[in-house]
Amino acid sequence: MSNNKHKVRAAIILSILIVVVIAMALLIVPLNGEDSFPIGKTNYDFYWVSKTIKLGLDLEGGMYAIYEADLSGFSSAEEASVAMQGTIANLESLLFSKGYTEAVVTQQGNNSIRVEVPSVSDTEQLISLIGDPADLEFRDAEGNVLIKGNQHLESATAVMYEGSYAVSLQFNEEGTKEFATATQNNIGKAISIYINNELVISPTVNAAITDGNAVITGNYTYTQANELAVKINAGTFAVKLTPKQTSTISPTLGQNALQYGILAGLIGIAVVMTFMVVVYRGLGLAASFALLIYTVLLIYALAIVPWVQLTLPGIAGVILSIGMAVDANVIIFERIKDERRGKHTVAIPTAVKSGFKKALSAIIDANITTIIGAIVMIIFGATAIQSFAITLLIGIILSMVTAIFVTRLIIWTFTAFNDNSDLFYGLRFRDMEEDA
Amino acid sequence: MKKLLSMLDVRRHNIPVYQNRYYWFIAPLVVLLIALICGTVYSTEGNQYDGFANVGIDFKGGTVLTVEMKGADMIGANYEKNLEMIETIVENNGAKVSTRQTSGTNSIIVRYPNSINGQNYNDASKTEEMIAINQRISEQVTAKFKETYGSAVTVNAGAEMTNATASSELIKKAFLSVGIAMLLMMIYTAFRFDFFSGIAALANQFHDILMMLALVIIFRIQINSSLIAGLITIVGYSINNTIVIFDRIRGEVKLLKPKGSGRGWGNVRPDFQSIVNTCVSESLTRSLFTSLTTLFTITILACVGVQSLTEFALPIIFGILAGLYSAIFLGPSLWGMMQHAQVYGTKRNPKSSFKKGSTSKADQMIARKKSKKG
Repeated sequence: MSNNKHKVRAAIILSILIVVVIAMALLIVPLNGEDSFPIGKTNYDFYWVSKTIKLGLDLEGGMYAIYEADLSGFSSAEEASVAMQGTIANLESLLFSKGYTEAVVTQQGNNSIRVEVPSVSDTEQLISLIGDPADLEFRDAEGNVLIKGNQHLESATAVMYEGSYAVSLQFNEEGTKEFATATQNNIGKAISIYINNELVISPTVNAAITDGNAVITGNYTYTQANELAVKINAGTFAVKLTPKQTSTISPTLGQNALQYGILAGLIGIAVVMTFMVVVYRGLGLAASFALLIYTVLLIYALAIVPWVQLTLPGIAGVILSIGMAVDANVIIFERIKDERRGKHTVAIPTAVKSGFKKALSAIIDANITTIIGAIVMIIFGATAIQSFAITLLIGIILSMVTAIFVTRLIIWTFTAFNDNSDLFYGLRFRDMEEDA
Repeated sequence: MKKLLSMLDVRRHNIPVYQNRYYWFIAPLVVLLIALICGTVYSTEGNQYDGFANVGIDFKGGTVLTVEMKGADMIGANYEKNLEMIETIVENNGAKVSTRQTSGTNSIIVRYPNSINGQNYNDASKTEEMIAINQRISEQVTAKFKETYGSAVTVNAGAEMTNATASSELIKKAFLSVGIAMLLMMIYTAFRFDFFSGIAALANQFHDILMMLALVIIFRIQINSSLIAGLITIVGYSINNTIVIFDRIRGEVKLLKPKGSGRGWGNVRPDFQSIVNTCVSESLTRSLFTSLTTLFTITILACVGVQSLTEFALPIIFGILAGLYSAIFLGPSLWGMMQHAQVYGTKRNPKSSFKKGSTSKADQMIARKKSKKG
């Protein structure tokens, strides 16, 4: 590639990068503080990226609800306590599956369950998440109860079925067996499905169903099917819950924790950038620009990926990952220095190239170990840990990509304009001075 | 500035890491001992501390006190004043408020651990007593608000015990997942580097976590869900530094090993002291700088002046420093010791192991003779 061509391409790439980053950054926070922006005389509504990021109870607050549990059906306190714990676990995983990874469910007093859900602001929304528990029963033609939702059902989901929406039921292990026996015994007869003692549908059994699946059809719209699924799910809890009180709650850490967290992040970025430029000069400048790109991309990723619900540890994890994002660059730049040390005949672009190549194994091995850790915690961890691990994983992958590819691209554009200044690239060493 | 930077450029000095290998274990042991002593002192009766470590509401459960008032301003201009009244009453009863929030348009919610005057009331046998204390607090709060705002206001104060938000299940899962993660990281390291690197990396992680927990106990930092998140971060982060140095060692070993010798060293008699010292010295700038950039950001978080942020950032700062220490001193020393034991046996034979220059003819002869005998 001729020098001029290199220059032109470098200039184009650099300007595109700068324009895209600035454009993306402008969409993050409203500069005018409003949820719209004016073009000419019209105001356009816009959902700012930063407002799409869901925050946890500690930073944003949300709503709480207290449910009273009906424990009259349990013979011993022990049995009731087991059922309560099971219900709490069910509620937690239900909320997690809907993206409320930082929701908190606790037992309060003897027979109440306290549910706190972040990022929710009205009672209807909260109730629609947990549902008004519904009793589900399968009965045979004689009215004998064959299947009970709270004993035999694992989950209910809204699905598309033969052109309209329906509710798909998945039985648990015991339920699968019971349902197989029930269908076996009732071939040719009808099995009726009751929800809250109301007959919903009464299909005729054609064959024994052994895979633990059933579908409730009824020409539903998606909303209807979903609502029904939520209610049936709520009915699968081991204890019967009645909502007692709901209200909004403010952030537990106070209003200013978030602001100070963001402030710390901004100062952190500035300090890290200054450090990189002072120590590595031109290379540090490239790393600083890559760091800005990383930060913008990270904010977008946090806004887009579901299950991310930022809490204080989450914010700190993000700030930490900003520090970690330049780690890879430090490793690379030190390698580039190694390539040049005592061998100043090596051209700078060559040193950069082999520096990147030689640093790669360390960077990849170091990051893969951390990625292994994050993935294990997503799989095996409990809800709060899972959401933190997801944030961590996003941070690591993005930082690896920007540190390796983006920094390299930026340095390549720099070398188009200047590929032999030891001063600019901070590649001047004492041993060179002695040689000269 | 230039001088300062060249001072940081430590590669010119060969740091005697391996010679002092046994000394590196002293500092961590001392820290552990101090933590044990502090914890024991904290858990004895008759002081203001309620146990070995400062376990938060997340893990122990506590009490939620909801105070609702109609007829006067609860969370507007009077918020600070109202909050102070509630906190004073809670404190007079021997407990300490840990979180505060507003609810709806006229309620304040505070939480406090079931720890009264340094005594733990979470035990089932003390539930009745705790309920009585909560009852008393509720009554006193109601009375105080009526006294302040006149009897025309309706005040509704209810204090109820809650279970731990982080259930024992969560803690079990947290430890399980961290354990599995560490094991897999070790297997990966052993696979990509060598078996001893895997062991040393695992030992480093244990060290970092133990140091973090020790300092958390010494300084009585609250153990809560955030701390678990911090521990996980350090498990993932500190291994990076270890690996950077092991990568350097891997490169050096590859250069020294004769071609085609596979896992063994062939005729070469490796000098592990020189390998460890050179690689650590040459990676030191790298390790220091990567930790520094991370320390910058997290220290700023600790210093912005919000207590909850400081409480979260401090253990992470401990963890990063512990990680730096173990990556530089412990991991490479352990690796060298294990390698040395494998190549030369566990018998102490300082002369042969500390000799420099490994491929002299005489050495090769000895090695050949040895391998024939073996």
